[in-house]
Amino acid sequence: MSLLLQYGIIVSVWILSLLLILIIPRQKRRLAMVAFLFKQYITCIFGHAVVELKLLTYPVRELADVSRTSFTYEYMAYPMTCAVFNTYYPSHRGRWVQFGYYVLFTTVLTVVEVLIEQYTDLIRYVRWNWFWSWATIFLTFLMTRAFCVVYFGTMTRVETAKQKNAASTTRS
Amino acid sequence: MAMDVERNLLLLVWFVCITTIYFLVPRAKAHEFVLCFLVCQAVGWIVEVLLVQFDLVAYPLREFPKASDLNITFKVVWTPVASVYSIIFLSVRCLASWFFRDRKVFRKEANER
Repeated sequence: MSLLLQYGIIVSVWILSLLLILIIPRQKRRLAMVAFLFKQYITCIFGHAVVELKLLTYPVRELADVSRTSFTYEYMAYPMTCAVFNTYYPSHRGRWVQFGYYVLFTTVLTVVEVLIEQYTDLIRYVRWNWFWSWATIFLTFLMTRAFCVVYFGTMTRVETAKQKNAASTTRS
Repeated sequence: MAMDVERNLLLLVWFVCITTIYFLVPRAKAHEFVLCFLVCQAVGWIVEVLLVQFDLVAYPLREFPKASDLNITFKVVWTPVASVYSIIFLSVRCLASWFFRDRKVFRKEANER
């Protein structure tokens, strides 16, 4: 595949993931922001470790002099998918529906990655296969979801505690 | 020898940052801290990548020398923690009133007090 076309893929990934902001509902923007940033943080560490161990390489990449990891994927595309994942998470549905939601997002991301690996030079598997991708994507989604649940769960508790304190002080 | 000292310094940075997070950040500001931390690392990543790209900074000793030219310790703990402490514990108003203590900017408020 020609180099120009692969850079075109990178640019279109940026545009697509920036357009994904539009489908996040207004009242869920805080959740999306926390999910996005936390995912970016853990992806940065894992991505660097994986490239350092030479399990993966990214032959065609942006900012090629600075880093051997894929800045687009780690900085924008993957965290933005996770933000969308968290905003539409079916938290009031059954356990199997939630599991299926994880499997859906993970499988779509893995299929796209395998297609990109097959037909372009954007990513090469050295000692890696699609199942490792699938498992790490699943685990990072799980970690981010757990982080968001803990973050927003404790936040409401803090607010109610403040209200309780205020109520008790006014009463006394 | 010097190499070992530098590596130990990086470990010390990790140790100091994590312990000061535990002891300095009050429980009521934990959520603010986490959000500031994550935003700072996201902004710091772009800034450091651009600094290295345009040859303004280089990190000769780094954790992942094959993967990246950035120093992951600075990117992951040091700059976020430092900037978060400055956001949480330093009040801009206090700094400004100290900086302009002899000027006329805050004179009016002082009179009112």
